[in-house]
Amino acid sequence: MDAVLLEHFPGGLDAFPSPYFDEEDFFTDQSSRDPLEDGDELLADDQAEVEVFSHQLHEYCYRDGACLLLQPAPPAPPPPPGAPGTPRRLAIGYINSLSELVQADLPLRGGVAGGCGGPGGVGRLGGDSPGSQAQKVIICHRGTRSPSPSDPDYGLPPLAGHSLSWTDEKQLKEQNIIRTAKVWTPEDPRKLNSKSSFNNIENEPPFEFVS
Amino acid sequence: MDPVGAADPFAPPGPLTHLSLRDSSEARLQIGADGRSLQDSWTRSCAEPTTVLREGVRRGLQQQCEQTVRILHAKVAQKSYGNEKRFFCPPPCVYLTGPGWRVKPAPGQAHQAGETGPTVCGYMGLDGASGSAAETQKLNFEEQPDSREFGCAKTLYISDADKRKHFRLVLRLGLRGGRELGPFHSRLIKVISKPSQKKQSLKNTDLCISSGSKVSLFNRLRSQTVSTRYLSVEDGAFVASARQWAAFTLHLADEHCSEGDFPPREGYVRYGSLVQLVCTVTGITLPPMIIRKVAKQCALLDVDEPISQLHKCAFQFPGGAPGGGGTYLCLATEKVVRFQASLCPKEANRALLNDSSCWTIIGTESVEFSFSTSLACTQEPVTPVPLINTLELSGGGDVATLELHGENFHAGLKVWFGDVEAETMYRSPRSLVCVVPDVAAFGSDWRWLRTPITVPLSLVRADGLFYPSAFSFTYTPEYNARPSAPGAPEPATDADTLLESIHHEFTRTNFHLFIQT
Repeated sequence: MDAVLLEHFPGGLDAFPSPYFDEEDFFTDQSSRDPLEDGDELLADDQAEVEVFSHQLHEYCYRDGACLLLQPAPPAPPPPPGAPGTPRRLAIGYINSLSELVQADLPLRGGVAGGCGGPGGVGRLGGDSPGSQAQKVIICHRGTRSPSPSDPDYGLPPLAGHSLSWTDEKQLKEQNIIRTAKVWTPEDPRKLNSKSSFNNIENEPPFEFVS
Repeated sequence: MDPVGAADPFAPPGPLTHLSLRDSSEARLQIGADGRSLQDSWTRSCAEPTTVLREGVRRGLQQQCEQTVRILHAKVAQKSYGNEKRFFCPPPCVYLTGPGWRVKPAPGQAHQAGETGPTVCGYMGLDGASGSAAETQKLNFEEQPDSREFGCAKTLYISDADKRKHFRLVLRLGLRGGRELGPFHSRLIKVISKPSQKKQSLKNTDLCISSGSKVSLFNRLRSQTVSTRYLSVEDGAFVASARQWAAFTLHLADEHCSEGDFPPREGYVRYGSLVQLVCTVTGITLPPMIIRKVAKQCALLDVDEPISQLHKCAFQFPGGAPGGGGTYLCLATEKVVRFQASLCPKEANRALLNDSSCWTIIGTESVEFSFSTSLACTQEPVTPVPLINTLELSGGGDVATLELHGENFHAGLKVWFGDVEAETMYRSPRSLVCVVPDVAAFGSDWRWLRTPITVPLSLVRADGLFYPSAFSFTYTPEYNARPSAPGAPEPATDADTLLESIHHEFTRTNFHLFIQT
């Protein structure tokens, strides 16, 4: 999957969050580095990093599987002309970028077809957490035909899709009960001069305290 | 899980979005052939057309013939030592509600003409017990004025020979005629040796009582079990009932808000706090009151420790004459009134109460099981009844998934959005995932409707047993925020195709992840 995605880098370097690209790594001439100093070590480090990030991404995929995998990935940047960056480094940056998106649960940038609204656009505006529904999930309608004057919806504002939401009617009902609770105030028998009910109160205060 | 993939893991997975779902009846046939995914007893007849089931679900939703079993019980139970029998207080009780209980049973299941009495019988006991007559109690259901059937187990207890720290109650329900509806389990109940006498620590969350939780209050004159009366609500008024108890939501109240209009506050409830008791069924509430700790029939006015299970407490009405002892919530036989307390002449931080204004507080739980047998063509028990606790939406764009978090899920369940069956994957007894059906599945009106479309969510077992839920699902039209500029080029068809293929790849990978997990 990664291999497929890494072939498409139409967004340029701007598409990446800056912390994931060390400009020095990309734009300095690394040929001047002492290969004995950081050659194999660097490769080993890279390998370890790739494994760590891949593992992290894998974890996120499990945790937020549908969040991440059900939407098109953002474009990864093309390697700058003449830059000595290896595919491995690009992979690190790209995986890191995806990791952050999953962690932050932010809208994906630069959807392939121009974001929500366009045919086939990325309709999801963000994830949600159980019960909170803080962000919208939009399902888009692909392949809809061009409006024709004979259509009943001709002239109506075009739909980008439908946002999805759910309601726990029971919880709503409980909240309504609390909000609209009707107060019942008990009587004070002394004010009613109703001896009978007052006399029904058993066990007056303990005598040892009254004295 | 994914029934298609389960049938043939090597077959190339087809597109799994709502745009091109396989016919669900086809998927079911594969399930049947595979034989692994469904419990045998729940397998739906392959010959049964989906349309018949859909029609049945639609009818079931319209007629609302569900049956609900509601079990109410305390969160804690005091252990009985030696030969003593400390009956659970308040006693666990069962309510049968819903129009389905009044639907005449089908021929064969029905009780014979001329037979009288309740059509449902039930037994309640502790889980893990032998089930002998000595350990279970028969419930006698009686119909109440509000049409609910009510039964109560007054003589259940847990012996010190039982070393468990938690247990559940088991309710076995059956219909006259022999059909067993199944065992229904309560929530977990914590076993305690006796109420804590020490200052309660907030770390002991099991025993503390939080704002917004449900409690029961009872009064026992001279500590006599027979004199126990429970705070309840009847005919719009608070009463002290010897027969029935009510669960109240205990809220920390705001001193600055008017009565009946308070924003609920979070946190554990401490003595000295202003609280409000709202009846969970009727929505009737007492005015805000200050909860006081009780010791030796005195209200302790300067104690602010957290309240704890089975503590004795009193409820003081704010205000009152300066220097007076204040008025307290009190019972007078069946009535609930105010009692004028007096300050203790020896200790100014105590108010003298009477026995009738000392209440015992205990947290309560309730669990509700809803089902409808009208669609089912089986005599199998309705249990385990799935319970949905919360939902989680994911995805967007072409496809969205809905994860159901809950209990008692199994592979024989399908999620239904209104009368539309969703592609459903079983993940665990606590998780089901389904593909949200496209709005077009509910008819063609969506093209010109600009109002939200809301459908009820329910679960249907493979044999047609219908489980309604309290959740609904809404599709809200969203307008195109950025209309395309005139003359803007249409996206290339091949780009669209590429996007679609990538999307399918993602979706497929996602489903495979579900399968692996």
